[in-house]
Amino acid sequence: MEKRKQRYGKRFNIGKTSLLAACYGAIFILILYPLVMLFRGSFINPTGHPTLEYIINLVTDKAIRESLLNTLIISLGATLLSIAAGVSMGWALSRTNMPLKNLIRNVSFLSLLTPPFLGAIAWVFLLGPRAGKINVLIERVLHFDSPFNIFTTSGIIFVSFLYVYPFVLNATASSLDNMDPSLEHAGRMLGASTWKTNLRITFPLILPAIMGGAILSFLETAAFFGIPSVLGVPVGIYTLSSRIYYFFQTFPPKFEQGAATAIPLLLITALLLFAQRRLMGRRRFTVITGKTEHPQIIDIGRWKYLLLGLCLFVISLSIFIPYSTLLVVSLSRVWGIPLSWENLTLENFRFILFGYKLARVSIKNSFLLAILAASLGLVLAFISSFSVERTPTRANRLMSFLIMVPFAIPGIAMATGFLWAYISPPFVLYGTVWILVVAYIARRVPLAFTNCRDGIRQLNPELEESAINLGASWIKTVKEVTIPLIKGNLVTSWLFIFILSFRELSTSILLYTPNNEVMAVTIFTLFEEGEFEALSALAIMLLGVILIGIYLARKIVGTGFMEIKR
Amino acid sequence: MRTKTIFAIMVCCLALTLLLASSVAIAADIEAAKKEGKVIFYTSMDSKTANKLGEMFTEKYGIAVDVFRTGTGKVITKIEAELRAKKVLLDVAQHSDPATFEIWKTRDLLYKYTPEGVDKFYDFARDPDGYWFAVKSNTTLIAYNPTLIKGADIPRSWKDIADPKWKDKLCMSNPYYAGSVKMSVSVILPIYGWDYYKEIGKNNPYIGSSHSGLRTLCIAGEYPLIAPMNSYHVFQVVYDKPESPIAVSYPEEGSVFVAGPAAIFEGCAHPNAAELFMDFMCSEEAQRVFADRAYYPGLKGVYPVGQPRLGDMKLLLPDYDWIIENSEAVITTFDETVRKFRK
Repeated sequence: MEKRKQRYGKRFNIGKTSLLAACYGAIFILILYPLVMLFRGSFINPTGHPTLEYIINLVTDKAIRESLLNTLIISLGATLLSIAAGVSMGWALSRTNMPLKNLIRNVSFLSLLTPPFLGAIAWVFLLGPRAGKINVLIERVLHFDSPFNIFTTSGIIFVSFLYVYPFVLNATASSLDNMDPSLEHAGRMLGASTWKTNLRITFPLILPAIMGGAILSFLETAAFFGIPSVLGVPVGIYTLSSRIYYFFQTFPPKFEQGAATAIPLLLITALLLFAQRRLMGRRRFTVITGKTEHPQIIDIGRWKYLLLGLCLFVISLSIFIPYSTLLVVSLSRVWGIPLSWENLTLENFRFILFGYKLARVSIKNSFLLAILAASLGLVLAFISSFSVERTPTRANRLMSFLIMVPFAIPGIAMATGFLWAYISPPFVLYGTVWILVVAYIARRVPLAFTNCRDGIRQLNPELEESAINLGASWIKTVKEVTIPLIKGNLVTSWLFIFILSFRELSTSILLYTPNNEVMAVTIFTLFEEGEFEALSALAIMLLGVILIGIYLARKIVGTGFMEIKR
Repeated sequence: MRTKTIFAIMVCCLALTLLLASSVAIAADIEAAKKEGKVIFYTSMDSKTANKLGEMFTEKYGIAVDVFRTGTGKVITKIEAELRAKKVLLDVAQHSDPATFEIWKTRDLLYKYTPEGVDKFYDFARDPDGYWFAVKSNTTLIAYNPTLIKGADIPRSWKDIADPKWKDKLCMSNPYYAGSVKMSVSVILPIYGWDYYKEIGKNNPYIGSSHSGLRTLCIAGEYPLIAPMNSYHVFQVVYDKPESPIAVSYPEEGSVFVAGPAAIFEGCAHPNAAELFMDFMCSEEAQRVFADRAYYPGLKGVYPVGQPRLGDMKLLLPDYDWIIENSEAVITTFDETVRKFRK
């Protein structure tokens, strides 16, 4: 046995050394170098002298302090709402006889994959203070000034919540699904009521999972760029990410201050993720002990309709209402006139497909970049996860840590690092599409890596060993044994990188150059320019592609697909 | 008599040679430009006009124009980023902040070129040093939605905008996105000072980045008042969709004059195509396009319809030296003041 392993290891090692070197090279280029350059940028002034000015400004500059405070308030607000909605929805999905569970699971999942800034734009159409459709309706029917204004802190909290609550929902539902029911049985046998069991036994057991989900909601909100830019910046409410963008856009541009402002965002993220790992790590053993029995489904009588109402309300606010609004606007001649046959047109789609070069260029680029990022990212994720799993050396363990680092870096902070790294020699990628490709890969490779590693972990290495023993080369072994067996993981990884790159805004907005525009950037520009009809048409196309991607993934790997994200 | 004839013939010959020489030079120019194949044009003019000019140029010379269009501020930061990277991608820049062109000139970033026909340009549209030429200009004024703001309510002056009755109804761009707003702030400041912007801040303005975006919001009634607003953004709608509810008011203190210079960058990748494109933008053909799109052309004798002539208007003229001196302070203080006094 020992000998066999040695031989197997040796034969694998010959060709693998070079592959491993390539992996480390990629990690250096994708992750380490931009990160180092981000820090370097924050400490060196334009004339090349080291300075603490930019770091000191983080504390003394009122605008930055205010942005930090706004980021915390908005993230906290969205997280609290997420906990309220996510826990009740998750519990309803896992433990009750509420109807339409599948619909709610599927649609709530869309919140994580569709681009949140489209939601923000749609909500401007609906809840703009004077011309928003819902506000107009309220004024016309109820004859009083509508209290809703989306351009406020609460507006930002509300829209952010709609696109982060599934983190809490998923955490709650899956920990309830996987919980050992014997504890609850014991509670009930000792005479506790159903409600009491839930409150005293179930809830404390799933609390760490809920906290974990809540932390993810918090971090995702803090990293949002599109939502606070659309809803906050025009009325002077900046978050850290929109403030960073401001520093890059102002004149003269303050690149150094932009880089420095990314650091607090990065620290918050790293700290909370660390907390989340600790939280989940310590409690995991009590929560997930394998499914020996199915958890008990509780009949909650009429209450199930109340919960169903809540679920339908939340998924309507996040998916159905905003996206159908975009659809209606995309089919209208003029935004603001009620939909009628005369106002109905396909002109906007014709315009973006044939009449508007920027839209055409960005559609082409979005496909090209997302396909490139997904394919190259998948290769990197597969090779590195295979190395880490099959030859657990110290170097490989280090790699598995490094490759997960981007997970803790918000998109705009990452883009800041990439800008610093690739705008000047030795690696000048700025001005080409490649800077976007590498940024997309770097951002999403952690996801693909964990996904591939989970697949490989479930494979018994003996399958590969026997192929080797039968004389197959290691390349052939990987190709004919490993890859076919984890095909599902590979396909989902590819689709995940594709979808998340296809909708990407916060990184692209800093890194794109003329002719390298992508769809999300063009939609954002069209919004700024007030071309609401054309914007909606492009947005509908973007959503269409993402929905097709999700459909394909589900078709290939079933519902397991939905448990992968984060 | 004889000497006179000989002299006349000599002059004619000289003239002919010069003409030939010059036409040869232009032909060579076009050939070299065609070889370069394209010109990269960063501009802040509206995309319809920019694309139209690009298409006309391509049709005429078979040279592609890569248009990168965004607000003045973003054009400038994009170029500054490229300068940082020591990788200048663009050939020709055009935007609405002449002060920045002046700064670039002193930093030796601009390439000196005198386009054909600029001798027929107004003086205000020509850099005395010959680096930039304002291919188009505009004014900033007050725009409003006439279905929501009527009669005596219509603001008549910049001062009126600060009236508390416009709380939550006013929108504008800001000096770091829009060159025209930077110019406007720089001429309104000496009259009313930062106190004026405190009052503006108290009106809770919606600060958008693009004037066309503000126009959409005004027409939809979301924010019925825009000030300062680019003249051409309003008149383009007046020309194309006259039924849209948007109108202008010329402020008593004067409309703000905003020049939109264009210049070639030193060391650009397509210098010949860039020269040819500058020639084209200054040609009567292109200048007429600007007028049709509601801009004030730099060329004498071409005017936009339905707008008062610049010479007949009360104008506030920006002081570029002052702006160069105070640019950063204006941008930062504007941002802080308007944000701080929001209610």
